Amino acid sequence: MSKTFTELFEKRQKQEKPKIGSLLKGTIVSINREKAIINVGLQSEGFIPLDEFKNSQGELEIAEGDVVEVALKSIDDGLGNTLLSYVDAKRIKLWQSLEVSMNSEEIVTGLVTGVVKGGLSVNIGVLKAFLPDRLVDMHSVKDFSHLVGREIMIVVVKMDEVKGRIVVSRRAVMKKDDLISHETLSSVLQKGAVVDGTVVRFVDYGAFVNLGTTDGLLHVKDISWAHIDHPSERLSIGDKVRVLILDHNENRGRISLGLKQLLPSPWNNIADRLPVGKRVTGTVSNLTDYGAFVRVEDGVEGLVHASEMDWTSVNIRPSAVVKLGQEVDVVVLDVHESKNRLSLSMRQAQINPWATFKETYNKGSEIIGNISSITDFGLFIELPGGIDGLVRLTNILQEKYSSDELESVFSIGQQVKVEVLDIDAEKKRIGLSIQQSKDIFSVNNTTKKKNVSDTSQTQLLDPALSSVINDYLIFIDTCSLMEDGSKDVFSNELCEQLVKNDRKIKILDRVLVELNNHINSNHERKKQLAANGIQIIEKFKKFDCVDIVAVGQDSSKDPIPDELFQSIFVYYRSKNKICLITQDVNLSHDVLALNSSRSTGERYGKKTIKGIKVFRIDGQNKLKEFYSDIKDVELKDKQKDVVIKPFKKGVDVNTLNKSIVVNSLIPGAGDFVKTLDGKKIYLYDEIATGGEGKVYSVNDTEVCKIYKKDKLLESSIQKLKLMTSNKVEVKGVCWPKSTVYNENNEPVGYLMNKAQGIELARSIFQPKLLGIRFPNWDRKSLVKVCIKILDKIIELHKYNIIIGDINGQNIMVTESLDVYFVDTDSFQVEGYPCPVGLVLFTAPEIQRVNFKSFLRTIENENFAIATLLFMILMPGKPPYSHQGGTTIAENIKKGEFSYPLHGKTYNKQAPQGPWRFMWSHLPHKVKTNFNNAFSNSDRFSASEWRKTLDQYVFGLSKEYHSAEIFPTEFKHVDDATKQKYNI
Amino acid sequence: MNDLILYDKDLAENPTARIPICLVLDTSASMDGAPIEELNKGVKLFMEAILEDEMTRFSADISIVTFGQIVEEELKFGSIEEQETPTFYAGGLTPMGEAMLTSVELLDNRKKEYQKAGVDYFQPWLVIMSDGAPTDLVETEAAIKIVSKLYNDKKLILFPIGIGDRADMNKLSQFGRPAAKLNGLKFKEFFEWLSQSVSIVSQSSPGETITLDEDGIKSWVTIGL
Repeated sequence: MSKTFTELFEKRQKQEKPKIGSLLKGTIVSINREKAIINVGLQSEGFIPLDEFKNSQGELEIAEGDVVEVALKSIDDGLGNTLLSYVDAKRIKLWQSLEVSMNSEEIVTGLVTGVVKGGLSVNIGVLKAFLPDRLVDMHSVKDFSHLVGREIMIVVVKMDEVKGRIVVSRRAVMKKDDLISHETLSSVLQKGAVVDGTVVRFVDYGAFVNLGTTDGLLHVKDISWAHIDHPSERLSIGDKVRVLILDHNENRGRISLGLKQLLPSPWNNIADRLPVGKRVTGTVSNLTDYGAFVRVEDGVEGLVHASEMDWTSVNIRPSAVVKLGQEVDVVVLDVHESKNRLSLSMRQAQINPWATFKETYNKGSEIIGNISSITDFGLFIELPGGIDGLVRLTNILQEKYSSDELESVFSIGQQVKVEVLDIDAEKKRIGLSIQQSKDIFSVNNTTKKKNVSDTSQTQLLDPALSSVINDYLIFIDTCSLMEDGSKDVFSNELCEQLVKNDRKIKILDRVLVELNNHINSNHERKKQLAANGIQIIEKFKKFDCVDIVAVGQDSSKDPIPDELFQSIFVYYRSKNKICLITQDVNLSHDVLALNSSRSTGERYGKKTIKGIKVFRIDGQNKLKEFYSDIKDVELKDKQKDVVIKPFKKGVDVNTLNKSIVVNSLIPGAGDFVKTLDGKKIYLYDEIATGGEGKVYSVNDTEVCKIYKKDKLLESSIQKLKLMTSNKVEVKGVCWPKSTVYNENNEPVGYLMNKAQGIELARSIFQPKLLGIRFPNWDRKSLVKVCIKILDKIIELHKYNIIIGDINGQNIMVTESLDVYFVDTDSFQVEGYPCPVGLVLFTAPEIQRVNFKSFLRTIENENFAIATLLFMILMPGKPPYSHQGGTTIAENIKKGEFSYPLHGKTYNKQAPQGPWRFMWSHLPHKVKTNFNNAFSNSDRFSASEWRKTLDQYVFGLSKEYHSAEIFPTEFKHVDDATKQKYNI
Repeated sequence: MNDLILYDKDLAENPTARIPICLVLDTSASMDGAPIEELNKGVKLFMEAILEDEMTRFSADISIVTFGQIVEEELKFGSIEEQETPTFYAGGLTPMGEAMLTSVELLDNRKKEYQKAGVDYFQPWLVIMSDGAPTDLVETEAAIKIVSKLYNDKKLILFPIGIGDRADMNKLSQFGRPAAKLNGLKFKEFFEWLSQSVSIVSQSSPGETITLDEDGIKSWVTIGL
């Protein structure tokens, strides 16, 4: 049956009718002045205004005959025209491609066109998008208008076809790849910015400057280079100042400002004004335990280290030698312009060894000395006092030899008798002459001097040295330099070999200081040995085969060389082989231990340490190697030397006097407090705040806790008195050292050592933060942290102290596995209970009991210990969390510990996630202990845990257990074991 | 061990005790203009503050339900690190009852998810902010019954907040406790206080008694909370 024409026509219409908004391909039929006529295969042709085809320069992009994609706007506008749009087509295509980009999280470019409510408007091609404020950057800033007009990288996060809305994110791009962000965020109040402000308020320690939207603090020490005591000495309220933003702590809302930093610093070109060796006069501006600060110029202070204050005593108290404000003469020892460091010496200013020489000898004096170096203009001779004199060619036997011949006639170390010709103490020059040939002693025929060792003879190099000289960095300790026979070991031959191989011996500058100290001792022998040591170094210097390593001489820590050696070796060991020559057995032990410790970022098995060797000079003046398994080593055990005076064991809880102590004044930052003996302690920055009080830094090593208003009770003061009466010296436990008082002699808090690191709650207990903060840790690190905590608990228990409130907020840990206990004032001592605690760490038998009303037992403590260890080894996961659990208190009371253990019926309720895997990788003993503690209330003591975890560490080093913190698979049990257990 | 494939990764791997918070926000037509603008800013500030604080970042579990034209769950519970704060637009009536019923259900479901995963949690918080009176009276009565019981049984921490002069403070107070009146349009101050309160809680442990910052409340309230 044939279809009617109408039917066919309608059918065709239906088939051909494309949707409005669809994309069609069309051919450009003709172009006139205003429009382009396009054939898309529909009944009528369409047209598009020519403007749609023009680019930004106004040029036409198409020509007749071109095929383009257009969008259909309407099929027939009534006049026989099909409305098409090229621009719409572009929009549609762009929309489609953005949808693809969005799904693949591809980064696209956009142009910021303006600021709108809640964000920015961004053009992506012909489409408009919205960039919300929150997604512009990684941190919040008030104003993004500086981005207008700029091209930015973004990802599309949301597209709503109905509303025609596109939402983009720039923050997502930054998260992906920090390198992509080329634009700098010019936040006004960023560190390093220079802004203008008005001085609005003074405080003792500085001035507050209003910066428009907020205030910043200009500390008095940052106002001028010259020393001032109060900001009013330089500023007035209302002054307009230009300041530098030193720091912007956005969390605390604190802005630190600097004014002097924008002024020319007196430290510029300081080396020109204060070169090494220059003598100046200054005023003592500050006294510390380790030295005196002397102001030599406005704004320029240098440190005279205690060892540089005097020639006479070794253990000097700077305050005994000088007073604040005293004028002193100093000599510049070292200048560091970039670090603003100036090292000075008072004693060098006192004497001048050339001056001493001048006093001891005069023209015509005869001295016997060794040749220290041979040059083409003469010989340098070592003279008493560690200085050199010069015998010019002309003065050697009346110019008998030419410069070339000197080397063959004389040798280094050769003894000669010289006559003093002239002494210039100022220019540090001594002229000498060798008059007669009998004054030159033959190398074999040396006169024995008062010095203990022989003058150096040409000797074969010690074989030990030969083995290390080419590949190792050689360090020499003071005691080896002062050892009998050192001159034989550190011979000229050594020097020549070093020079030949272009190597240098390394000597810490601290060693020089020690040698000089010994020279001034009362011990004749020590004096001589030290003089030997100095002569050896002088010899090295003459050969230019020594490096004097400066190591923070002016640092406040002033470590003894042992610790210095260790920290230096840790620094060098991954790049160099190191050799240390020392007589100190303990030091050798510690240094050799560095050989086997793991450097960061390693898996066990591969060592990146190059190798460390230690030698000593033995009885035959030969170098003998130390090994790490020397059995007769006297182990350093500082803990053993400490005498523990335990507190009395508490029997009944004290009836506490809970009346609140009302103080007339609560000191804050910038104020001072006093100890019982009247010593003033200044409170600097507030570094922490808790419910009870605030903690302020007072110096590099100590802090003060000041109780908040209404938080200090009579009983707290009494407890502090008890606590401060006993020295509890457990490393890392920040015990109250002394009560502190305000200026009206009211007790306000206490002084304690500063803790380092970060709370467990913000590190180990948060897996993501653990990965960020301590990326190089593995399971062994976690177990070691546990052991360190246990050791401290064991020590504290020896004092009859019970911690009570063990939790993740008051234990801190550093990357290097040092552990600190804080909030120690809450510990239980004698009859004073620990008044606080967290439900999570509280044993079931004392849940819901008022902590202030009873004394905890070791049993209670052991529950908390087990919980803590569990939450470290299973980072952050509370032991009783399980599927189907309710509140923490309920979980603990029910005692439903839900991890599997062989021999126990497993309730299959372990929490979802990696925890079961982790559990399976724990050693059997550890799992058993946890199960006993949490299921059967059979709790291990700290010492018992310590033993078990020691074995765990051992097992980890032997690779018995997985070293990963987050293992992803169950531990594989082999068939034999399975059979054994009937699995 | 196949059940592991279908679990919520964040609940499984992040061991931190969660603080579930549901913000129920009025986006009816009357909120158009300055109020919705300030609300948007306040919520953004809240989310940012939560993200910046290490402790709240891993413990705050936030869901946002708006009511205006419809009741919409604009933000789901789950790690906020991976979600973007929505922007709210005003329009429509005030289906407060339905919104409250929805939020109670969401909170309850979330609690069940915690229990299923073996994750500790604090009692949930419900913040309801409105500038008018509810238009779905039947649902509102039902919601009042349920919410006030939860509040009285101490299973819920409630913050009813009225905005502006036309807020029905009476109705809001019926949900369990007297409603507080926002001082003007101080959304930012409110959300700042709220984020600090969350921070205080995040540093303690479920089951502990916590004192929120009473003084801080003064920064955003006119009638006492």
